[in-house]
Amino acid sequence: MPTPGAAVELLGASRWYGNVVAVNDISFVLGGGVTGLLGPNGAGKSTILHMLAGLLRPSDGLVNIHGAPSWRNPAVYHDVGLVPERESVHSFLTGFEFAQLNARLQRLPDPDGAARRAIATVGLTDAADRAVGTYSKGMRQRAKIAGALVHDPSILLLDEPFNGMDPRQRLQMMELLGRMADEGRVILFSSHILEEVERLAQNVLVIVSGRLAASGDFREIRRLMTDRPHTFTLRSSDDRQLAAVLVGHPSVFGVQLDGGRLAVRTSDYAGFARALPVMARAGGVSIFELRPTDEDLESVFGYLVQR
Amino acid sequence: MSGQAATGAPAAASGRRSVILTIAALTARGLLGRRRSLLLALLALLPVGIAFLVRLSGRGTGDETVTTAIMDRLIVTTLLPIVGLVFGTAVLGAELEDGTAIFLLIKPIDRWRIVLAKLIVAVGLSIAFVSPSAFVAAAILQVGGPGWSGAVGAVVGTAVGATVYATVFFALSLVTGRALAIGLIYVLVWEGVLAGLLEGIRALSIRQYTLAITDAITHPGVTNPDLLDLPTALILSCVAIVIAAVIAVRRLRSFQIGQADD
Repeated sequence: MPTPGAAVELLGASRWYGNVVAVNDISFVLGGGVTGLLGPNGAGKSTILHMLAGLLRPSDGLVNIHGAPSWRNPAVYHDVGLVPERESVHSFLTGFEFAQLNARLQRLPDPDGAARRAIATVGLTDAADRAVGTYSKGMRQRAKIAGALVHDPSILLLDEPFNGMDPRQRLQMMELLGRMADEGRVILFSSHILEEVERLAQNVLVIVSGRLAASGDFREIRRLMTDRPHTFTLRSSDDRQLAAVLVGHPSVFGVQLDGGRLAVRTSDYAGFARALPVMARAGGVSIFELRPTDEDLESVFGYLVQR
Repeated sequence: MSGQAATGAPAAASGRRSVILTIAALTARGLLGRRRSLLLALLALLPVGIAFLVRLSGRGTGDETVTTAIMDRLIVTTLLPIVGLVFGTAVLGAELEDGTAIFLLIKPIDRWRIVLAKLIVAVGLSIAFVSPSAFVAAAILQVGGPGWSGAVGAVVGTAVGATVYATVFFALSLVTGRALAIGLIYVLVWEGVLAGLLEGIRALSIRQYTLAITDAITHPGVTNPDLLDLPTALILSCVAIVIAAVIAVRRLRSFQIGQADD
């Protein structure tokens, strides 16, 4: 049963091409905020975005936007903006004309005003009167985003949106998407750059071989992966003494002194967190720094891909 | 952007017309900016130039061999299907190929409006590139006698032919990615060879519709047993246009983007 009130929902959605399964029985619901769609090349990220955008028919299951199927339903585009990854922009149009075209096709009452606002939002005002064919890749990407934003959609789907942008543009775009998410919009973007996802997305959907390997806050995902050890590095007043104390605790199954830092591996994240201060005090050691080393998205993603 | 929510609502009914015009204007701008359109324009001028040279040489008027060579073989058999094929397959096919069509497809627009806008451009450009040339060439050669019947017949016949060719090839571009090749095979093999050998095939030949309509207007009251009669040619033309347009709308409604490689 579809979830009432869900802005974006996949329910048992699959998509296959002949014998090749691109997306396999994926279900998730998205509300407001930024969600990162993460996965290696060929995992099925673009297929999911294209199904959500009504550009691909799900072979099985439901793909809904505000409770209505996105497939063969152009009305959903009142609420959805899509920034495709590869598709080129009409090179003979200026940036402003491209945004204006999108506004006209959305039948907005003031297409010129909407186009100007969208162009300003993505920071292309100075280049608005130049043909898109003369733009850099990053500028073309911003023009596409302006086209997707022009009708102020409540749902924004972006396929590798930061490709080709320089670091400053990337930061600006992240800030923009963050602001839009704060306004309650649903933003789903795919990226193979983990740092982008980690910086921008509160939630991640990890797609591996067409399956949803994990979803939610990536730090939570990491903590729930109890079959993988957690690794911490510590700096203390006496690393050797602390190592001797820790190695006797049942939740710790590995300690290593390396370059002035103590690395600890534990299978019980919560148990270790509770026991550490007690053991340190018992050993007469002061802890200066405690840092989890494998909670970053790259580590989480690496684990999930290997599973 | 936050202050823009009110602009997200669809415009009033007047906006509906402008969507078709917007798509048509964009399509025409994209097509006419391509080099192939310039080549087609030069090709379209060829019959006029040849007719002019023939007339200067003192031949042409009343010379059945010459008028058949220019009006039938050059215009109806060669220029008309080539122009219809190029514009019919390019109006959307080229945009699907380079990916720009996606910006059209992710808009809240009924698919029949997109098809109509594209057909207006494909048919309009096909007629614009062929019919004036056919009119002038027929007038120079005085096809059908000293009056204007030959020129009028050439204009009407090629206009109907351009409409059918462009519509059929447009639908073909939504059915297959090899529309250009299949269209060429249809023109060269089906119409060029088989329709001349097998009488029944004429009913499925756009060239035959064009020739029948042109001839009926050029020579009113004269029946040519080698051609379809005028009502049959007109009815079959309309049937072909309607079927092709319906197929195009149905295909576009179910259009799926090429397999993503994620």
